[in-house]
Amino acid sequence: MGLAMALALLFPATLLAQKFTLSGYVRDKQTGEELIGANIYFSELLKGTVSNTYGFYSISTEKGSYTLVISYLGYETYETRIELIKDIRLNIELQPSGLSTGEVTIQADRTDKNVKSTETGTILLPIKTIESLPVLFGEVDILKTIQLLPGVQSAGEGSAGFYVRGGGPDQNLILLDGATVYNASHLFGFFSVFNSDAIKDVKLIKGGMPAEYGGRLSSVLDISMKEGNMKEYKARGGISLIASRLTVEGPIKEDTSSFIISGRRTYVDLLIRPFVPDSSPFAGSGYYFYDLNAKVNYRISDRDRVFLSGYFGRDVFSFANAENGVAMNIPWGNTTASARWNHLFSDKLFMNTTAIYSDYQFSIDILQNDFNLKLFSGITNYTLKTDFSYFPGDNHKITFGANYTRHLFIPSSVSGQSEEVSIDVGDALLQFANDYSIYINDEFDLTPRLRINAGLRGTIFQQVGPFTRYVKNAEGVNTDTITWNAGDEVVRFQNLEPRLSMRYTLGKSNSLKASYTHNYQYIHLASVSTVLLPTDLWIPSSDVVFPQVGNQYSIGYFHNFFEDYLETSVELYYKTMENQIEYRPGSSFGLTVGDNADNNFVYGDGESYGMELFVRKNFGSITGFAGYTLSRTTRQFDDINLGNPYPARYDRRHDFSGTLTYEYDKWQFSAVFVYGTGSAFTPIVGRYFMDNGTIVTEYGDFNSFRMPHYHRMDVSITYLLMQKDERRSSLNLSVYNVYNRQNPYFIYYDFQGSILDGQFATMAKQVTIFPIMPSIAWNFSF
Amino acid sequence: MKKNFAHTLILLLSFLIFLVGCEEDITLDYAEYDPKMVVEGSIFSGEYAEVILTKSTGYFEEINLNDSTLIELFGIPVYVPTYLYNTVIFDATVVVSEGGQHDTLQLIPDLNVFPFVKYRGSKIKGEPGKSYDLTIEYDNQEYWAQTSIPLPVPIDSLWFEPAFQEEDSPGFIRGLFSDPKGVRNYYRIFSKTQGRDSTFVHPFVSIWDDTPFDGQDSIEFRIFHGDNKLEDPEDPNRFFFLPGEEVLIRMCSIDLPHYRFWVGYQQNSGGGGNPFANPAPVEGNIPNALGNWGGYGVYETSFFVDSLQVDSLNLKSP
Repeated sequence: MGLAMALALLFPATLLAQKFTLSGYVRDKQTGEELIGANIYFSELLKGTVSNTYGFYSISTEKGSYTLVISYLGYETYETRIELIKDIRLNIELQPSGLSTGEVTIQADRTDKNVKSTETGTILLPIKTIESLPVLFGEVDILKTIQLLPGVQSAGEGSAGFYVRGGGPDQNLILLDGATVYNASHLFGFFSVFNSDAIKDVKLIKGGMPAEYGGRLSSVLDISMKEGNMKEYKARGGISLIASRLTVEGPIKEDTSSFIISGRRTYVDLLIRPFVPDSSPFAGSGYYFYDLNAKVNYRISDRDRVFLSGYFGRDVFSFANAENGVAMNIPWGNTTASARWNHLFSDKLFMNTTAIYSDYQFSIDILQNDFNLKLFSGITNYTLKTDFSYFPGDNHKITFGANYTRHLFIPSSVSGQSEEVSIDVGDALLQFANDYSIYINDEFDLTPRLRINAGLRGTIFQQVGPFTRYVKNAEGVNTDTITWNAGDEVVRFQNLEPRLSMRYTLGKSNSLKASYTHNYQYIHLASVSTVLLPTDLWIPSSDVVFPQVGNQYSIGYFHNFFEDYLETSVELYYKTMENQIEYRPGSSFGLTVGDNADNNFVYGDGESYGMELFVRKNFGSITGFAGYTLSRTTRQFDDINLGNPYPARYDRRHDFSGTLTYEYDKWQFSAVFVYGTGSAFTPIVGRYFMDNGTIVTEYGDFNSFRMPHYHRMDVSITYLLMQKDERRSSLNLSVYNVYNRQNPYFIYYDFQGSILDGQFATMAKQVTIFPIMPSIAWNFSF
Repeated sequence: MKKNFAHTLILLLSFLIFLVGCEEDITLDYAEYDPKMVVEGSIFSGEYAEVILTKSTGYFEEINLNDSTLIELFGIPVYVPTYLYNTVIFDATVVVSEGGQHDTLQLIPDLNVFPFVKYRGSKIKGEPGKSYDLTIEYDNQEYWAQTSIPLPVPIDSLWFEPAFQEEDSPGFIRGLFSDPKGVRNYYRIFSKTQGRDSTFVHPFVSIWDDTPFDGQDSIEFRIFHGDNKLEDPEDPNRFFFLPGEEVLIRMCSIDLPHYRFWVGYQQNSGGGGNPFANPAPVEGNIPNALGNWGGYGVYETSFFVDSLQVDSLNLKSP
């Protein structure tokens, strides 16, 4: 509908006046890196655009003489006169504004993008902001910073998992250079897998998701890796308490081809080793993780460019106990690889084609005496996608594309071996699926004040054989098995996903925005515990598990004060989610031998609504942002809580985060404060005897009790030891949880005595993971 | 194996917490607990209703079974742990009604069943196809529930299956029945072994529903000996039947709310305090009280455990 209207309105206008196109790339002058989301506009017309994920822009208007202004956060604004009497190709290089010089060019940093764009619930976080905030163990963490934004909640103490507007942690599409990252955390979520040294840009979309993104209900976290310096060799890195990082980048051929390679490894295991003597039964136990990011790119011509990028990371936990002959090795992690090709068909039509491989694996290898048991779960994807951006002119942008993904899910597989027995149940449990989608998105000005972004996404998800369904009775006994051969269709879902967002300009510095999105999600994360664990299973939609369906409505008022000095916004949202899954009450994680992982679920719906306030000051010697969210998230499952709605585990009535950074001479001070309503959990309130003396535990209403409120303050001081040209070295002292708040990680019940001895007592215990944690890190670049 | 996996993870987390974390005792503000009435009520077809009434206790209340109180129970002096004694309700008015008839249940002793007293009817016996109301008045409060007795389903055959390949091996009983077509059926099974059980006991998994096999013939089931609290918990054979034993088998039809209650009960007995397990609340059919009021349509048959009759093809008719 929107599209038809758009086309009808567009064509007469195009025919009337002769138009020319200005297009090109926006890049960093020092490194040659493309800049994402730079503002490009003609100041006389107040008409503009933003550069896309590859730094490309295209703007068309009537012939004439204009002042072209290009601005980007953290860079000097570029201004030039343009005689638009023909199509012009113009690549622009922006000069980074001086870091830590004490003086900040006010002109350079201002942006009114938040007011002008149609995007609701979208926040772009420059990596510079992320790096200036206090850290845990000296490790800069993108996901922890994301959690400070309004509408985004942390999944728990120190966790990299996050909940957006009442959606589950599986409803966030986390993309690293276009590749889906299924488990974005290390060490149970205490660290994210993204090494900030290799990251260029982070964009979070929590509402009004454009049609180019799909497959998730709640949000998109689009992370772009740096391309590598096109001009000269550079290195940067850091040494912190638990890890070291090193990144090297540089031209392979100046202004044509470059590379970046970045690595990180923790060394807790190496630090602990001296304290665990070889004679100890636990010798050989330890934990570490490492990451490797690498990327190369090559500009074949001004029209063609290719990129190859990859990520590989593993957590490895090993445990040995010589006394009972157990040795265990537990590695898990992600691998992603993407190959992409950017092609410019004309100055109005841009194409990006990507081939992607993404893989997440978790395994446990247990060797007990002569018995070897291996558990394995994982998810593997192969994706081919192509995206086009077409710029017909007059602030008009059409994007369209198609995507195919082949999924392989290994919900849980076991193989074991001893001298006598060998078991392997692996292959029967695999689940294969094909995922197809096409989309079109049209963004245009309906009137000078009203800008529309309308999109439609069509998706088909098909589960295919080989597959075996185990049908079970209430006793948990197999009563039937149904088998599909390779390639046979087990089930198919096909859906249309309309998306609409609009902006109405009220004045020079304020606007109203509204959006509606309808999404389908064909994969589910089954999480049995109150903490996110690497064992949480990814389950595809199947003959018994139906796709998640989401609807989100949001409106927002955006107002910038003091000539864009201060950005503010208020957003309201309402969201519904269907076909949510939970483990059947009373179930505990286990292996699925002769069973399908999805036989243990119950299904229900979710609802969330809330208000988000956001204030941000991006420049000056004092910068920072603050967000407050008032929200309510409930779930309703027929099989849980007698079918009555109950608060979701991550229902958080109040959530506040504030950050403040102050720069003075060679010093930078920053602080973060977070406050959140305690997580909901189901308390055990009583016990009683029945069935001839059996003790029955009485639970309170589902998720009716709250853990103590969560609050914490972190501070950090960075001192610039040396700065000469582009060589820098700095020392960072961070204190996490500065007033040593004992925040609950989980609550459990401990018992003393035994019923058989006639004396028995129960008490509740709260486990806190992080007390006050000071850390020091040294960072450098040259 | 299930256990290993869970343990591994808890171990992993413990390792982490050992590295940096700390734990402390906390008092949760729901620790102030208001005891609820617990109803364990049943009406079997052909029998009078029986109701056991107790009170729940707070989860953080210490259980002490060593302090005893001497009470006189129907003229018999008995030492009862004070803790348990305090949970028993002796003075409720319990009435079962059906079709305008009322039966006021009387408190009687039963030393075979905890807590040694129960309320029993004397007028209304359960009949398949009828619904029964339960009304309890206690402490100025009234409780009400309703259950039904579905039609019983007969067992077609039973046989014994030894657990081990040895002479006179203990084992379990297998059986076949035909599920009635077109109706939802829910089943619960009990057994009572002569000379061993003083009351009917049920195996750990005692319920099933007919979703996977509605209307089919020759549905096979299996019965282990139930948990009899009077038996030595160390006895390796306590969950088996032994050759030479005479066993009464009861296969009962129950209605859906009743079935749901036992599903919850079964799941509940696994958990408790594990922060990584899902809560398993038990959902009964009595508003404002714990427990359940349930009717049973009984099919009863006796079976002689004969270790020679082990061939499953050589069916033994009940």
